[in-house]
Amino acid sequence: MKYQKRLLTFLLASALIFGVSTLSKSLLTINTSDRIQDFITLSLSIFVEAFPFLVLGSLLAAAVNTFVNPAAFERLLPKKRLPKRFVISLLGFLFPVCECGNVPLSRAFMKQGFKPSDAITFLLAAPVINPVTIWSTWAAFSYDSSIVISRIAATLVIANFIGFVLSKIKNERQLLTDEFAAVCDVTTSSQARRPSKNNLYNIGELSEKFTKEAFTMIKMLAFGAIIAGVIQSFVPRDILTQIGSNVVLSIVVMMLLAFVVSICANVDAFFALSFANTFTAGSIVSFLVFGPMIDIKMLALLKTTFKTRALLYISLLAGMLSFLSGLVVTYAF
Amino acid sequence: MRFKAPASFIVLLCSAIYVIQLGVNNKLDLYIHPRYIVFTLFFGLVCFGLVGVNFVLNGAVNAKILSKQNLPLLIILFGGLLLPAQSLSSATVTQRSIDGITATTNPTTSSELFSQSSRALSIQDWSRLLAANQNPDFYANKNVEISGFIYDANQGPNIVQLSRFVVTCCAVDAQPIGIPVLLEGWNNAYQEDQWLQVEGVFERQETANGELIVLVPDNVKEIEEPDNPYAN
Repeated sequence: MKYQKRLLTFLLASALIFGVSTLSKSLLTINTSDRIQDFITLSLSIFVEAFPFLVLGSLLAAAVNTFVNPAAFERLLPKKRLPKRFVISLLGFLFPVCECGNVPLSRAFMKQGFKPSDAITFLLAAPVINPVTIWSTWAAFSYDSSIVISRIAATLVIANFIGFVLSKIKNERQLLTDEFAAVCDVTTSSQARRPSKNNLYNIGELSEKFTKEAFTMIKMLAFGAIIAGVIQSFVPRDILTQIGSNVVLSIVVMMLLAFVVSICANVDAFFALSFANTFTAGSIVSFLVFGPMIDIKMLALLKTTFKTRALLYISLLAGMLSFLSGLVVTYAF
Repeated sequence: MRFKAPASFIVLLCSAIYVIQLGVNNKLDLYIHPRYIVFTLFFGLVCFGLVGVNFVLNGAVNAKILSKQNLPLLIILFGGLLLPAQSLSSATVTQRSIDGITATTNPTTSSELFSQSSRALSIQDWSRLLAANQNPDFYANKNVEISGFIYDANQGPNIVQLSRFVVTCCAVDAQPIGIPVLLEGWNNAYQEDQWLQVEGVFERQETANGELIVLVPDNVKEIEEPDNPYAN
């Protein structure tokens, strides 16, 4: 009875939204300037193009969180540090979760015994080294495969390098907040959650996790879409071209944008695409490499787990190396 | 009183309905390349289904929707759900120079293009040919029939660019292409962004930018913006 009532409410709400929208579109005409009209069209275009990737990414993340026990993978990893770290940097293929979802996943890994440096490697690499991000980057930049390849290569190198540097710290636990380090000490693998045998419960959990994940991502996507729309419609082309054609300035500006906009890796390629005509390819790559690793949203999430000093150190390293990748792409291709 | 509503439920439901509605009304190609339409529509339906399942099985969790943090989202949903879908206008042509032809199209030889009647060639084909060949003899006796919107590229009072956008992925990467058309005193008869269908032949003419090959029309007709306004 409860379910039937909710189903009816859902169908009525859908019909109401559909009806109001159809009516409004047939009655309203836009009498604004062309620029405002184009701002709306461009922002909506980023939103619509990114939307299916956002749904796919959120669905996969929800499925991983519902049905997969991350601890099971620890046993399959190589024992030697370097190959182990490299395999960890590829784990995003098995856990195609966006960067927000990766933070809880990395916490789960550390509770199962992952070293903090390994967890950082996973956190830095996984948002890009996963099928959804690679697919959406390819969809946006199919005309220039060097951008797609550079994004993957630079991310792998930076994630492994920072993991290597951090592994040289004597006591890696000092990277973690005291609260989280204490949680890691008491958690054992026996506490890892497993999917329930009740299918209805699993579907309910899957849909709930999907809704949470998609809602977090869609807020960032809308913010990014509006920023890109404003820049494309209202910032004079001359200014964009001047900044965009300067090798160093274009990289710095794109990295700052990545930090502020905090758009998810699954869909950030469509944001970057709006700068592809005026900015250097190197600055686009810096944006695509740095954004998924460090931005306002990620730092806020990471503060739950890592000390501020550790985050500052990681951000500086990631920033300098992303800048360097932009320079390499600019001069090499 | 603070307005509280199940934010994630309403936002995701509105987003899914917006995308599905664009698909049902054949308007998705105003925003994205046609090859992504089925993919986008499919995931619009998936989102709709999952939000529905979550609502039925778990109910909606209350959260604030009208907060500063959600402002961009509200602008997007308001613009998408309530305002009519629009293609890009000449304001964006000004933001992007008419030079993206080589970046967005594949090279094709002119013999391939002329294997059919010259009237069947698109505005994109002609703009590619003009970029490669400015010899007037090449265009002699080749009838042209194209449509696009008027863009004033400051080429004098009698020349307009008949323009369209070429979309590679979505409207964000739209590159304008244009064909110069001789329309004497066009400013008195038409406004920028007016869609026209023009028939005629190419001839060399004196313009504000020197001598150029321009389309000299035999017939000009005002038309409504087509369902797919981009040159894909």
